[in-house]
Amino acid sequence: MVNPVLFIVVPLGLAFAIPLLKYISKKIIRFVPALAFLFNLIFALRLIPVVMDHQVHVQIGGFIPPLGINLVAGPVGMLFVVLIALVGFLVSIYAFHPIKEKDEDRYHILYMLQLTGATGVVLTGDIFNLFVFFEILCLASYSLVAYLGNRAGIESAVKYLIQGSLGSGLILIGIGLLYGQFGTLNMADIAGRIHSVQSISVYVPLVLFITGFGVEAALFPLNAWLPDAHSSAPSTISAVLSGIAIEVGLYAVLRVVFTLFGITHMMGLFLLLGVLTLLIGELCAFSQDNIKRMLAFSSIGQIGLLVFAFSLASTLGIAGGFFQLISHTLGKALLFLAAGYMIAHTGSMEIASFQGMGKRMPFTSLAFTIGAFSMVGLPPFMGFPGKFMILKAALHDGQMLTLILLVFILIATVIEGAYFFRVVQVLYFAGEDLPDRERAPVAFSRFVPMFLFTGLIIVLGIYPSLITDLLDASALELLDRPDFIKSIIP
Amino acid sequence: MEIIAGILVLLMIASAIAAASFQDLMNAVIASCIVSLLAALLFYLLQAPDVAMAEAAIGAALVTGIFVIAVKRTKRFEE
Amino acid sequence: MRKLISIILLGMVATGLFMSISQIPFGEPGERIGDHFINQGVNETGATNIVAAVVVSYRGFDTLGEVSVLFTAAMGLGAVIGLVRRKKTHTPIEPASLIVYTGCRFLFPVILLVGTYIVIHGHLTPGGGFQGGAVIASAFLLMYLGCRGKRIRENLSRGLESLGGLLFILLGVTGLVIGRDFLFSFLPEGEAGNLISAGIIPLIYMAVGLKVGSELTGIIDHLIEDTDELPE
Repeated sequence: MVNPVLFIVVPLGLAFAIPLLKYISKKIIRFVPALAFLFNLIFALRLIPVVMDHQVHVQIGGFIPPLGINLVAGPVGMLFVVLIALVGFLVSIYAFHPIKEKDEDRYHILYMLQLTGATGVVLTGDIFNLFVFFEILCLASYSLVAYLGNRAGIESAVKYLIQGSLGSGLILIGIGLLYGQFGTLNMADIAGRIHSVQSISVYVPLVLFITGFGVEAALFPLNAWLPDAHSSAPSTISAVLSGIAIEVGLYAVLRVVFTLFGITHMMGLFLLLGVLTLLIGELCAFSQDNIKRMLAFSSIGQIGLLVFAFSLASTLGIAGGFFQLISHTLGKALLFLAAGYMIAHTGSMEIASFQGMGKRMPFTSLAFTIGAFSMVGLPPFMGFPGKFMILKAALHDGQMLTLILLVFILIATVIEGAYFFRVVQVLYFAGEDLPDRERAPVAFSRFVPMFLFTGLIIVLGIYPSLITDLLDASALELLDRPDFIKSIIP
Repeated sequence: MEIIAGILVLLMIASAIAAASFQDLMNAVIASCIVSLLAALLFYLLQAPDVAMAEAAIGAALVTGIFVIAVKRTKRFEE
Repeated sequence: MRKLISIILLGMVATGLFMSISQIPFGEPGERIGDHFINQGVNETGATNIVAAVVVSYRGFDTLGEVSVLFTAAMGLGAVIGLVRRKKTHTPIEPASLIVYTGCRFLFPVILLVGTYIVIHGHLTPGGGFQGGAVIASAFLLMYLGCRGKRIRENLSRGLESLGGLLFILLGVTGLVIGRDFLFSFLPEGEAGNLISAGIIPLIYMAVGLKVGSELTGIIDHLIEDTDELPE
């Protein structure tokens, strides 16, 4: 069994080593991220059966948890580690072909740091440590958004930076208040004593945390940065931002709400917030002509759906939420990579410029179509079981509010279908009168990740039972708070 | 002791307001440097020499230097 | 209208913060963990500077994270600053006056020495890798301001930066290799108060000092890169 701390330390060490490796050869550095995340992927998958049985706790520096920092590799953490490693590995294959000639080493370093930060956030059991890794993730994201160096990129990076830093500041104040109140930073330790103080000392940090992490998780009033940042970043980074960064922000919100504070009596508010985010995201996506902005708004919508699913606070709802989260990560990464490849070919982000792509780039168009169908929730792709599980959980919940909100979710899905079908229609059926141009040249480093993402979406769509055990265990970890606390602080 | 700390805090607030209200950004940078220096002194008085050292080296020296360079690269006066 | 809403929001935030801060028992004993650090810190880690014990031993993983935050910031700055580099106009560099020049040349080695002292004595007296590194970087800032035209070698600073980070990680992984936890202090604690004591704390602080010093110097170097050549 591999020590979970290596999932953080190995990519971090390799990222530190890249400036030295550059002196040996400039060529090899582009393979370093793939190597690091392949390591993570293999060993994280091997650790999954172990954590299904019992949580793996790791102490750092040899001090028992409330004194030192501990890592908690439970089902939720390992689910995210596998997801991050998978997306990290496949997207880094896509980047074998350099995105920009200059500063290639900095791209790879920042990319690895971004995903290392994400891995750290999902593994740690200490709230301040979570903040530190969250900062690594955010800082790397800010600079990667500006990586292309055009005006739009820098402008949206500054927007992202300002909103993100304000959010981080709020989180830090919240941590300060919690430490002042409880004299400890371990999440399980705080969670065990959260009800021993007056409610004002609980709700103020809670609000600060949700606002701070909500910026990264793109909850409704806090997501003004997202469409710009996601659409002006390089396509690989858009895939990671949409597929990993938002989800990790959502993980932090979940961890805070479910484990740290154990607040389950105000879920109605979150249900409303989720559906509002969903509707606004989908409506804005519908009115976009720019493909990357459309995908970015679609991410906002999907996050709304995820918030709705998790706020149901039932095993079925949370398991469905995790399934939909995986489906969104894989689907959106695929869509951004496919769209990025088409944009590189046409030189334009306008949807109208993709006319006739079905003939010129048959495989990329097919991959985009499958991703779009999965996003809408058509069988046999991965989005279908996800949305189905969420619907089932909502019906099972049976409250009046949930049922009313369900109607809005169905409306949002119809809108989602409309704008994705519009793109698919442009790809295949528009521009018949265009002269038949020759097929685009093939770059294998670009096709392999798209092919694997497509394969995963179809396989998990047909056999959702491959991962449902892990998802149920994850849902239990979030819901069974006393057990989580007792396993760390006996 | 408490009186000194109080005076320091008042001076810090005054410099912070000054930093925010100066039209000349170079003056604003120097005012924010003073806030950091006073904070370092306050940390030292409150028996946190480690933090005082970090605040003096980073807040007062490096950040000021970086701001000066940034002002020089952009515009000196606020519009 | 917008101003009114922001004022109301700010008021709400301030009230909330004030009310929760007023609940915090400042300065009262009974914080389990704080007390443990104060009473047992020297025994458990061998460092007479409790802050160093907390920063490097108890919460060493945070320090690794913070070093990475700085690394990320430096890398990101390098990637972004490189983009907006303007055309170089070759106006001559205006030299600093003799007094400033001499003063900087005199102070530079002294500040460097103080910074190194702070790094090496981090486990005994206040200070440590971060503070010392920042002091070292401020010496280079002074050199840039006073002796204009002089530059550090970028390759060297980036190499040192990597080396510091790798040293930190190797020290941490050694703990795993010998069968204990990551960042386990595998060296003997020695006698508290001696220069060579406190296990791996001084080594980690040296790695941190190396990394922070070269990183902050690198940031200043990047920023100052072509300001000298810009017309006023």
